[in-house]
Amino acid sequence: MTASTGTPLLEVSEVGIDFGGVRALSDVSFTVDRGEFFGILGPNGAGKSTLFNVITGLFRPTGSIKLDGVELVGRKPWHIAKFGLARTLQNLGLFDSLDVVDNLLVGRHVRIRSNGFSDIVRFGITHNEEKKARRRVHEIIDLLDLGDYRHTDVGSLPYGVRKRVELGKALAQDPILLMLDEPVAGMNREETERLVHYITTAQEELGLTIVMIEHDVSMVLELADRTLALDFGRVIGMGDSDEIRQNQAVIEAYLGVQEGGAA
Amino acid sequence: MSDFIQLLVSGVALGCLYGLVALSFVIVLRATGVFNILQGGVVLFAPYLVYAFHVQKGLPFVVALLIAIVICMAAALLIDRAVFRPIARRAGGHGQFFAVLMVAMGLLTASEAVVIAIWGSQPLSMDDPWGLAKVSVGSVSLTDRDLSVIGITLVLLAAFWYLLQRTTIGVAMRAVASDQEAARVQGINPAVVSGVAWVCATVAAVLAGVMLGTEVGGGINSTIDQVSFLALPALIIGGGGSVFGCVAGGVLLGILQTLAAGYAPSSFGAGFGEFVPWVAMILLLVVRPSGLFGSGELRRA
Amino acid sequence: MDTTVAPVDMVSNPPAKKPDHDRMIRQEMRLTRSWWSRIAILAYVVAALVIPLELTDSLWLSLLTSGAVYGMGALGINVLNGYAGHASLGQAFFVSAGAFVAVQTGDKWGWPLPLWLLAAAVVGGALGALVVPLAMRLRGIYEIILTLGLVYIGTYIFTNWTSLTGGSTGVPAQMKLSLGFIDFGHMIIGGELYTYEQGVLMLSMLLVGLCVLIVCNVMRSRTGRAIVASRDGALAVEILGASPTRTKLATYVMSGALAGLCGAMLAAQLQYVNEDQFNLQLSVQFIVMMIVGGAATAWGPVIGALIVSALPLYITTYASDIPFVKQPTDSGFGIMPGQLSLVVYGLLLAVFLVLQPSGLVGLAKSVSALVGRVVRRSRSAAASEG
Repeated sequence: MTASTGTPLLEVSEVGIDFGGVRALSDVSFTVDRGEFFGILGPNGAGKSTLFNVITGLFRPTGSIKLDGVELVGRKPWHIAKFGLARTLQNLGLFDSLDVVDNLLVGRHVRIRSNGFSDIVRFGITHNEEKKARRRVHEIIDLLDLGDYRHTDVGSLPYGVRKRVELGKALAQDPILLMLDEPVAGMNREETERLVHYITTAQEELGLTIVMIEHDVSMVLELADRTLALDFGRVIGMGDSDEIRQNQAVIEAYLGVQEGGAA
Repeated sequence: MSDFIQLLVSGVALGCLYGLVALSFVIVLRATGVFNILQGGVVLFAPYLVYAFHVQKGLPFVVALLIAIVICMAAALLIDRAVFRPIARRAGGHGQFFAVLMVAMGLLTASEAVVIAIWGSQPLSMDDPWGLAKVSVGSVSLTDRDLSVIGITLVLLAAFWYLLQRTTIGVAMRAVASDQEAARVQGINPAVVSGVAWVCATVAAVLAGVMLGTEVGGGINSTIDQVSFLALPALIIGGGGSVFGCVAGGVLLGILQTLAAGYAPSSFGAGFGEFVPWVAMILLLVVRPSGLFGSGELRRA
Repeated sequence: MDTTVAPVDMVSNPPAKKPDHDRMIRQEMRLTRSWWSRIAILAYVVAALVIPLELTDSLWLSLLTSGAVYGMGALGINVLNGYAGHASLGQAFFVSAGAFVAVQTGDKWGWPLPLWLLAAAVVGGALGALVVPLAMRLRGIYEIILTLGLVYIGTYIFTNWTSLTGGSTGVPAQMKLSLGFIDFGHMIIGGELYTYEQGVLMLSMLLVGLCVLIVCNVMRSRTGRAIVASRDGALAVEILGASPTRTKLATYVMSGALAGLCGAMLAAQLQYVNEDQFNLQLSVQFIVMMIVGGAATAWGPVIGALIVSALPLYITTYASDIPFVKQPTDSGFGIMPGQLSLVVYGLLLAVFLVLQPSGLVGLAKSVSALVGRVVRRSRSAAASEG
């Protein structure tokens, strides 16, 4: 899938952040084009999740992050979500005591128009908005083949299904940018292939721009249009899959121990 | 000036008692991870028990005190194992601390009723060894009782400090307080630690209750446990992170309360002294939620 | 399970929806999920209109009114604790505020019924909102102690604000109860005059029913979902676009407003308010009501309120038959009837928390589910035999 030209959807410029004396990210810059599938690679501790956390507003970095031209740095996470940024959590931000439909409905929060008064009265706006939201949620449930679990409490679902619900929750937001944080971590080959299928299907159906962190290098390079490689909080490589495969610094970062090099 | 010093000393004495009660809450909290307000019941029962054995049965004061300590210790341990453990297990996770608290509150209310049932609702006098004796230093007149309270508290604090810092069980308690799982892995038996914690906490609570009950004119009444609630702002003001923090918070509160009650104009109305600690707590919470000496550890509860 | 998804942009050009969706959605969005619930609601409305007119026994009138009035306060703590998971011992404070606002606006300033009720709710909600910045910084035990402080602070303020509250002697509360052409305090229907107590009961039952409806509606909306989800993952809810401040505000304002209404109706019921009614014990009682009835359910708190209110009446009536209970004039060992209630509350809490944490409503649901299974099994057994 080729990325469209025009202004980038996401522009990250010279982002840096310290945690207790450790420079977790420094001078990270990259752009993500509309419709792109953008991968982020890096060994453990490279700063991938930190980068996600910084983009979604959990921490405030130096530098600038623009989504569709809007500056995100300094905004709260809930505000950033309103601009169309959705993100899955590595440890799954699922609501165990709610069922799948309700989990996705919480995901739909930003797309439901409501005000306090109509919530109470329940006619008019709230009623219609609820109906629309539920329609969308059920569509997504069908899209991800979660129909069997529709009204099951999420807490009792198997891991692979929970990962799909997490994806669904993010999709329910109808985001312009979807950020996936290690979506297939802890899954076996078969489950991984299935989830990848859902991810790519979702991207095609909904015309999403996706940024994905993953450990599985070959998977990322296969799926992504372009990939960013991080190590020790710095960008060590960026480009399309071939470029990354041949990037010496990236190879060393992953294989450093065997080469006897810096690890 | 002499008024001020008298009030100050009274405030410190009262604060010591708050500190002891706060301590009894915190010791159990840090050893078991669950906040249990049951010690309020010990604070209530202890003076009544001493009354029963010392005044009604004629035993010497100290003996009555020791008997009260033993009875309260046994009862507290029993209730913890029989009632609170099952509840905490049943409720699990987040709910457990609220469930424990609610049951403890229920038990506290029940104990007030039981106390009235046995001893009636009139305030009783403990016939304590200090009585109305006073000591005069210059123009300042301080009661024996206040001075004894401060003294006893200091001795108790020293004993606790020694226990926590210099004995094996103390080290074990500190380990459990900082990380229960890790301590368990090291072979520390949490049941033993919590048992010791309850014993220490009960001793502190009994002493606090008995001394609260020695107030001039018959201080034993069925609302003593409510007084112990004032130890809670002390807990927050002090930060609850350490023995020192509890008592410091308590003393500060006691001083605030006594000075406020002593100097407040009558237009401020009744109960101003008891009102000030809560306001002070809220103000402090706004400015510094971890308390004056705290490390924010209470937040985990 | 490989479904072929049509390569169509689903956002702007939705394919023919599976008929399933709309039916499912209608079912999900219904206020009541079963025939029983619908009948029960109808029955309640009828009861609210008929029972007060037929009932004349003042004990029963008082009991049912208390159940409804305290039920509103219990609904409030249910929102705050049952749904949102915030521990609070401060409900008595918000109730007291509502009561005194009702006296001030309804009695002293003579406002009409809807306005003084509204005032009580608004002040209760506003006070709840004020607590939010503090509550946001605190968790667990800190939060509880903060709310406990509210009760004591309230006690001090109201004891000494004698012009508003009459200090320790209390203040009479004679508010107008007329709404349009009905004066609840003085109902004349079909030529018959009904008592003040009967009118108050009808008003209370209608009000509490309305409150239950409002709470249900809010809990079914996106705000309510955010409130409940925040228990399982506050961070996750925040990254989905729900401001934690707004969510907490919604929670505390609702809880405070309900408490305010409770206080106002309490004043109307007793026609007298004394600040010593509003103490820690009252806060604990609300929690008992919520737990006994069923936390995080629609009617649980009201049912719990009915039971908790019934207890003291039951005890005083049968005091001579209960062991260990004595009359105020007896000497010797024995628990005073008034105190016995407190003991029982404590026991109820312990018993329910350990054995039946989902309360009576939960118990009823389990029983009906069990009955349903038994019925189905016997039906299928009969079918396979027949």
